[in-house]
Amino acid sequence: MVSVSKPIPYQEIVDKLSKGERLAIVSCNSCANYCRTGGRKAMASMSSSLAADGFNVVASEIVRKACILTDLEAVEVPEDVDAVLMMACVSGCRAANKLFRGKRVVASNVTLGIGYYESSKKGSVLVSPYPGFSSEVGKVFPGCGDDERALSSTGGGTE
Amino acid sequence: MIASLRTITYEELKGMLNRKDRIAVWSCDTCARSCQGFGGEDAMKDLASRLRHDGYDVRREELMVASCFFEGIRSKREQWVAEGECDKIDVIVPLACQEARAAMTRVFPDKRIIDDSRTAGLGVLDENDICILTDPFEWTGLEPSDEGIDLPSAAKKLGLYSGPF
Repeated sequence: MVSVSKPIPYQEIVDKLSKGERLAIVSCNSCANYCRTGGRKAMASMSSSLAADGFNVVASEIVRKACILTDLEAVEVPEDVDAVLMMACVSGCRAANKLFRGKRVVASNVTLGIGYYESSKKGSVLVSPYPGFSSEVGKVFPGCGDDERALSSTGGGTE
Repeated sequence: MIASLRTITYEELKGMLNRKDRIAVWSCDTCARSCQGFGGEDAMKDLASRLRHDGYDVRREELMVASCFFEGIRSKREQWVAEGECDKIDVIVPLACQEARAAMTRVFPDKRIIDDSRTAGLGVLDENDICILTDPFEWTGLEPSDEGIDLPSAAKKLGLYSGPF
């Protein structure tokens, strides 16, 4: 179950959010965590960056596997949030679209395709790409230095 | 969730095996199990049993929680080596996604790994523990959607198979 993802630039994410809305962050602790586009650390970084930039983050929740509806159902997202920022792959966003009806679902990641996780390389190797990412096959995500770039792009990196 | 479809029938699988082959049936117990039972313990045991019944030399049955972890596959190889079994396997029949197969090919360059599945794309595991394909790969010609398509329907459209051998 290794989808391979990379983060959408922070500015592009905040351009899709409004400071007047109540925002929940839901972060996948499975494949996205392996790519460090999800998980606790990336979520904490995103949450603190958004709060520092004046966004109203009312909840930050970890989900075991966002692509499993029953896992996502178990996440406590306040009823009155206007938008959910999904730190997950496209499958997690699909599941969120089904579950969080009436709320705006915003993705923080782009899904490159499917691969396998290689811990010695500290990331996931892309094997089967979605359109536009064929040139990334065989590469590891996050790549060398991506962690630092991702953290700096969210203004975080203090953890 | 990886949506895997089977590319061959049981009869075609037998056609790819020799009765002298020393075979390991290998299964992933995560996505492949959720793909209509293509993988998982039951599918693995049933396939091993059918092959043995048909005169094939199935030496090992190997169930991995998730076969998309390179080091997990490598540790299985190390276990085979430690048990003196690694050199006694010629062919692996994987009940896993093609991405796991890519990793297995790296770990087991000395084994023939049967090409028996193709990943149709990513999907969602619904309330009934059924994998629904929502983001198909381009080769499928299927459209991405929140509603998705169930794997038997996808398989039918693509001339492939879903579920166990």
